Amino acid sequence: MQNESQKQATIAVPISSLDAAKSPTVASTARAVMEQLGRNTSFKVLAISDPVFHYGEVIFQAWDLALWLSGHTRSGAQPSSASPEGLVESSGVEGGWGEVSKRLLGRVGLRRPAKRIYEVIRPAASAAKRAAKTIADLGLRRSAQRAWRVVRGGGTKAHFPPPFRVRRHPDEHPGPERCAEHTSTFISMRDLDGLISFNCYDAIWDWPTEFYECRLIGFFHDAIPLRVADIPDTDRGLFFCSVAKMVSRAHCIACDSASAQSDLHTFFSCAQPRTCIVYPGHDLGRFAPDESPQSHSETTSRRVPSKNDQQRTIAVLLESEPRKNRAGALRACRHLAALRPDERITLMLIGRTPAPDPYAWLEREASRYVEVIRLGDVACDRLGDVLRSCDVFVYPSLWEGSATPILEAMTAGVPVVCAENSALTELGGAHVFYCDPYDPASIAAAASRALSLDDQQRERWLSEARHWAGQFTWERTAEHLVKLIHERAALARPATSWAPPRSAPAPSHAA
Amino acid sequence: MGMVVSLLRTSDPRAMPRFFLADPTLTSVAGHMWGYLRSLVRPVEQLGFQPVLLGSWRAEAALREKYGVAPVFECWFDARYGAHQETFRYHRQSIRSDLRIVSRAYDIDNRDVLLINTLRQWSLAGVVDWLEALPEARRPLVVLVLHFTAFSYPERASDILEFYQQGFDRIERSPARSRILLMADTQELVDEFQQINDRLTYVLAPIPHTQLRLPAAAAQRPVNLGYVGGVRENKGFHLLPHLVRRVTASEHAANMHFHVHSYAWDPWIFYRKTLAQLVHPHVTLYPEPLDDSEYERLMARLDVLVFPYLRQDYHAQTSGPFSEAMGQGKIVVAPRGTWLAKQIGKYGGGAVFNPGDAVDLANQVLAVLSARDTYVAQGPERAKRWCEFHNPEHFLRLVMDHAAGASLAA
Repeated sequence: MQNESQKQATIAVPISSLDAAKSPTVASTARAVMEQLGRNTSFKVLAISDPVFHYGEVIFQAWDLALWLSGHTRSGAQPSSASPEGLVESSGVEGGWGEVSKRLLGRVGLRRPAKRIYEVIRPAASAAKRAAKTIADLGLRRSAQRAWRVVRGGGTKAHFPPPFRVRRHPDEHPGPERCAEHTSTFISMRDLDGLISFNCYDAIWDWPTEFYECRLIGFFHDAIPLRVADIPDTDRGLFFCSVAKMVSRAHCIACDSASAQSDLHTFFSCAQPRTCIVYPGHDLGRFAPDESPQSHSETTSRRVPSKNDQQRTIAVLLESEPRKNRAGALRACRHLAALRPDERITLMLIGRTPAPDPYAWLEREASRYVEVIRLGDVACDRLGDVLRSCDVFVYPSLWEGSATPILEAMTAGVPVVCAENSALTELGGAHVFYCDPYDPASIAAAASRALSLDDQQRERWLSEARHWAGQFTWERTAEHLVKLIHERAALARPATSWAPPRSAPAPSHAA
Repeated sequence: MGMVVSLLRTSDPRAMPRFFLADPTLTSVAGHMWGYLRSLVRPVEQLGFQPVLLGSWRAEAALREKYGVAPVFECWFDARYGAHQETFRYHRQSIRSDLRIVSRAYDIDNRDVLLINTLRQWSLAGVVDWLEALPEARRPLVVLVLHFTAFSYPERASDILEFYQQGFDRIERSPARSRILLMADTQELVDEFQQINDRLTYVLAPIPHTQLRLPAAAAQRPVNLGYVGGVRENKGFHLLPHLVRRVTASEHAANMHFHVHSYAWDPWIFYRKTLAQLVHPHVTLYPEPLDDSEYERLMARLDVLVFPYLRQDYHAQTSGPFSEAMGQGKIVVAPRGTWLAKQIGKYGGGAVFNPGDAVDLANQVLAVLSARDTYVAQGPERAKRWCEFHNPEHFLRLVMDHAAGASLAA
């Protein structure tokens, strides 16, 4: 008999894709998409990490994605409950054993294996007792991995399914409910129906995944290292090899934009039949202005300057990376001041400034013509307010694989100026003012055009832009992904059709 | 020093005023490098000056003889010596001493003009030191033609900026300031220098070595694509293999030939690999330095020139081969955000691509090949417009206008 959970396809996403410390943009995309996917009842979505080889199996540590995400901050920092000590404290195991385990784990000193041991200990106190005793008897001289083997051999099978067990029959399969409420468990690659990796550098692409039935979906965000000169700290060879590995192993590759797809086809023509476009979304709720009447009047009065108001504010979202073209924005100030001599212009720089600042000279020069304000890093929840307080948002990036900031600005109700290249033209549509990012005069001219809109034009422009940006939501992205999973990755297998595991062929005795 | 002075001394130095054309960078043969000064010789004579070419001691003797260049400059113009201030001090002293020899050898006076081409920022102060040391009545008009940007990357300021600041400040405070004409050959450089010191005047100099020649209109013969930058990273040599691969796989392959100047000043393994990828039946490599006649023959043969230069210097600096290609009405493909791209925007005649982007370069080259007939038809008109501004006569007229102004001021 099949239960409901077995009808769900099990899909996993590597935690490295969700780790904001590695790539904030990729992580925010991955988190938003996977959160949406997790709401789809056809899927059981897991977060996985640490693939290890174990006697013919690739085993992952796995978490329920929703629980994993709820336990992690958006910046990707590990909350205290995720640390071994935190797990011990929050586990609810009564006094003595919690303390014993904590002490033992502390002495082991290896975080991941220690967590595994503890996960074994927690559900079965008796097994834990034996485990602890055995570990103590061993003198903790090797590693927790060895202790785990001892625990396994200690007759714990009856209490919880061993993760390394090879599935023999659908009825035997314990299903993804093994993923305990607050802790991780282990899952074999055989038990996964699909694996989505948002990062071409992910370790999963190093594994011989082609020997499993698990369908692999890779995300290709952009070919920036191969297309933009002077990208600091980028190993083009490593990037190329990583993408090549992903292309060789993924069953389907979702590209962030037509531009990214075209780049992928240029460098890897063999990927052509397996690619499709899944546009990124953005967080409408975070950037849309508050629609309450009072708030609306406040916002409008702040955003649309009166005719006598000669103060104009331009926001520029930039990083120190040359590709973001901070230099272009700063050089444009002189031209903008010349184009709009009667206005007092403030340039608001959003983003971290490195030290020493290579743009100090340019910033000093720009401040001769406009007022330059550095805001530094702006918290996610404040960014909408900052954007709404500006008259124009300028994003003169030299190349983008996807361009969520311009969607966010459109939703916030700010006219956008951006470069006419890469994915920016796809996501900007006819609702942004385009410029040549290599020409400061062109950036200034586009910003001036945006500032020249009268109230009526501006209202119409912003309304159309907001409507356009409203199409790019994470829900829509997840819908596309689900469609992709069903159509291209063919994951919608009913429970009865789950294939038996690949077992070694029976030895032939014919000879 | 006495021996050097006697070597340089001419037979009758006071017969007519002299126009000294000096360039410390000319050491070996490399295409158009000698063309800048040579293009000025005849117009200088027509103005009633005696042209005197001054070059580097490092230039090969045969070349010095061939072009009639007197060796003057001892220090390599781009040499770096440890800390920045040491470099500054060394170049300052070096050029001061070199010019002192010239002034003694030629008995320079205030009727003469000394044009120094390709002067580095750290030599500016040395020239002023020398000029100030001369008696007021013997100070020639000194024309300094500056080609180098203060921002070696458009994204960031560099140590070069500091030298320019020091050099310009020295000129500004000098009593001989009226005898110095600062010229830069792009508007971008003029703007940069004005940002550094807006109390000085900088004149936009035409590029003299562009000669009007009609492009060879031969639709039947193979289209000749060319690259003349040598094996150098800042010239974007590493982008060529992708370009060759794409173009030779396109519909244009049968009717196309690629000429690549592949002379390596500093050959190393990375470029050998790049070179190996360029070995193709449709590609001719030129691994030796080209002398001026070889260079001119190659340029005359080419229909389309690609300039895959990186933006790091060329956002404000000129390119000699590009100027010559424009002067000959050739089709050109150049990177966005550079002086070259601005000229294409102004005069037409080609396409622009994203700097450092081999894919976009190939796309744009294929696009211009498809529209070649249109470009060829517009070539003569384009070349004529280009040469109206960029010619040696115009260059000298600007110098003489300033000379007249300086005389009046004196």
